[in-house]
Amino acid sequence: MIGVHQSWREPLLSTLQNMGEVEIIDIKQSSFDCGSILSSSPDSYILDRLTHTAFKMDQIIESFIPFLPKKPSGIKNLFEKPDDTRLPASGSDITQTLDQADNLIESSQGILNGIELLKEYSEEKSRIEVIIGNLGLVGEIVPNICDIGLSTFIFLIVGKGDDSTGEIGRSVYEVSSDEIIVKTYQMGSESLVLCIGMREYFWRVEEIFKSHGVTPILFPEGYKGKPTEQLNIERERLSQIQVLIDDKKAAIQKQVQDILPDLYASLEELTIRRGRQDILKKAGSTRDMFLLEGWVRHKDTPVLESLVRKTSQDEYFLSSRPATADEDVPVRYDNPSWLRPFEILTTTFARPRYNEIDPTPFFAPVFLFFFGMMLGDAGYGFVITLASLLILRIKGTDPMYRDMGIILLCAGVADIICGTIQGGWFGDLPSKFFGVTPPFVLIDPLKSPIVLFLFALIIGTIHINLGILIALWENIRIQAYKTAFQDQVIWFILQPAAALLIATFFGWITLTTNLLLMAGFAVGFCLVVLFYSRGPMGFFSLTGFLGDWLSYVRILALALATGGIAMTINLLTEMIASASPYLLIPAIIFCILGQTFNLAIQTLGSVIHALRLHYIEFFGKFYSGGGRSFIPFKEDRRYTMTREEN
Amino acid sequence: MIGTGAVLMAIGAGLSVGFSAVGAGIGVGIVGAAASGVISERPEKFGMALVFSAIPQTQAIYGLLIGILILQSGGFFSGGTQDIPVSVGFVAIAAGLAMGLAGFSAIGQGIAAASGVAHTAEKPEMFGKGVVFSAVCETQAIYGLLVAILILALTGVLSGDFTVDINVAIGLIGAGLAVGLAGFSAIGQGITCSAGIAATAKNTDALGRSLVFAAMSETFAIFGLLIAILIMFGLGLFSV
Repeated sequence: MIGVHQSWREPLLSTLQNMGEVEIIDIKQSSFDCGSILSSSPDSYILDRLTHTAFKMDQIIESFIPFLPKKPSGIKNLFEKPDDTRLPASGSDITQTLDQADNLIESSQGILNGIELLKEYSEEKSRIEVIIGNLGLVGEIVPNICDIGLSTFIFLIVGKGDDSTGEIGRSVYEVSSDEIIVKTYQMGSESLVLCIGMREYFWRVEEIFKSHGVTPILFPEGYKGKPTEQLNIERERLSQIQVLIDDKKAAIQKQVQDILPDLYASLEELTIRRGRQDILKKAGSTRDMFLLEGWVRHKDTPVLESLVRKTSQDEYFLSSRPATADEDVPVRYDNPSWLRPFEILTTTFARPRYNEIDPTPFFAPVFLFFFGMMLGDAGYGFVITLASLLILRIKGTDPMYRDMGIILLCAGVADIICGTIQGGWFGDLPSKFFGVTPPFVLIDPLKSPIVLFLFALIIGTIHINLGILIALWENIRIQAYKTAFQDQVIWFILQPAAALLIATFFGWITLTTNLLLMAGFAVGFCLVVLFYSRGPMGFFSLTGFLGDWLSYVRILALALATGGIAMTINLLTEMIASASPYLLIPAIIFCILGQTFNLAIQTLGSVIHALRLHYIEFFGKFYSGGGRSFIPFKEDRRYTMTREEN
Repeated sequence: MIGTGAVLMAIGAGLSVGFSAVGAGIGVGIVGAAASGVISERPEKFGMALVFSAIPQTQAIYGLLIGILILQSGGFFSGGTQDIPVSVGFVAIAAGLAMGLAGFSAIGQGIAAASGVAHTAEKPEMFGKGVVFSAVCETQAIYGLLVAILILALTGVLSGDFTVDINVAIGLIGAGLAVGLAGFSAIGQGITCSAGIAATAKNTDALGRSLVFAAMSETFAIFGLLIAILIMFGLGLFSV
């Protein structure tokens, strides 16, 4: 809990938001039992003004966005350099920030008026286009536009729509068979229905047209003369309005590009300021004191205290205590910077609970190793590495892309190493087409599948036992000795003893009677403990363990799939190229496309199965997760920078 | 003159590609139906839907791989099919059955991926989890691929050694059937994964436990793999 004199309220909030290491909680539910004597005091006038201004500004930005140059989508977007221009943050007080925002909104009004005018031009353009379309249709059958509509004695209606069944004609003739003419014309894809009759039948005929889905064509007042003459006038008007639209659009685009960075910066500042006001709802006040309570990492407490002391010029108090297990403690990762990108992969499964081990340090290196072994092609590794370097170079300032780039870079390097060991360079491309034998090959999955099969099982044994060991450590740490014995220790006894018995059964080794008895007793004892602690479900523990272990052979299967499919592509390329000299270029194109496809599909598979081996086989031994994310009271600046950053 | 061995090898390649293509086709069809529904409402989700649609295609690729390896081992691309013994043909059929039947796991994967498409359309953050759940059902196909490769490699067929005993070769069909038919357990797993995606979309914390439920159906695939390995062991394929 932090308390300062009321005069330091704003500086304290600014300092804490800038520091971004504290999650503020509602002081009314304070464990310090002081909520009842406190009142929360957000400034409702300021809060309303901030909300209203930010809303208005957001709407303006929304209406400006369509006038920005279009961003590329999909893969192209990945390599598009982001606009990371940042303006200096407004260091002024909140009233000045609001006034600046109001000024910007006022300046935007001219552009908004321009957008309105553009809309009117566009509507006018649409109207002219409709008229041109109608003039084109009626021009063939009506000599003068003035003839359409009502005259002193007769009427003439021309309607657009389908009357292939002649239903309109029949209905109209029922009105008056002698004095009415109905005729249908086919004008390209459209049908025109023309009707001439005595003036008194006009309204009834018009009703019949509409009820049959035929829309009467009408022209605005003042249209007269031959339709073809009027058509030329309308076309001239259309080209004039198009020029107006283009000019206006270009002017708006320029204005929008000039003002938008300021609008974004101002909106960001307003959001940050509103965040401070929102926090006041969770804070407490007495006549002279302003109090806040929140979660902070133990190691950040000295820094926090020093900042609060500096901000309040020693007029403060700060009290802290360790969290207890029954509290709703938020969880944040605490890994070195090189591991942080991999936290997202742990979070995809579940964030650790408070006081639970964070598996990321175990997860990251093994994940990369599994990925490399499964993809197992150094050529693909180089492609991934190059792509990651490109992403880091172009989009490195965006945290999301930076993390993705780092993961890809590590995965690419791991694949280069593992691929070299497995001798995969776009499959067997160097040896097939250039007669070059790749160096440093230790295990070729296609030539020595059994070696890789055994290697995968050994890796699986180590990985699963690492998981059991972590679980054992955790149980010992919380002094759950019984669970540690029943759930972990017995597996360390069961595995070697069962291995000895199985090896003896298959005749791979010969044991002395004493050793055999000891192994048999150990297995029996472990099974008794297992079934005693888990009941009949103990059987599934055994099959589950076996399944987890055998599941690691997917490392071999995926390595074989990558190499095998790449080899198949090379084989088909060779067949195409050898069919005719003219097919050499198509064969090369086929090879590039095939290898790209294999790279994409196998990279996806390797990522997913390396994750799966962790999520199911590894995490299943010691990790459940489910912690609540730490949400710091923090400035999120993307369009602005503070004086320190500047 | 083409011998019976070459004919049986061709049948083995056909079983591998044909069965796995049927499985992949049904799986992709299930996802495609869901994807069409999604993009009719939200065309911008096309890219995401395409990734999910691609997931059950892997089985057909694995089937193709085994088919090509069989044909290449038999010299079908170089015109050397005359001297293939019948035993080698049975080995190819065993490998073809292992991979081809396991390719039906794509149906389960399609069921899970369809749920992934639907939930990711509503919640983009479900993409990663949807892909993980969908990938779980690929295990059966991977086991099929593994056993098929082991059959071809350990009998020496892959490296052009055609001295495998006829009885061993026929026995290996049992290994192929064990792992291939056990691959159908992926359909049940797909149903669990589909519900798991829905559960995780509702409550993110459900991922870990839902994966455990999904992994339970895999037990039967592991039985199939275990028996296939034991058959290969019993037939002396692992002896040095």
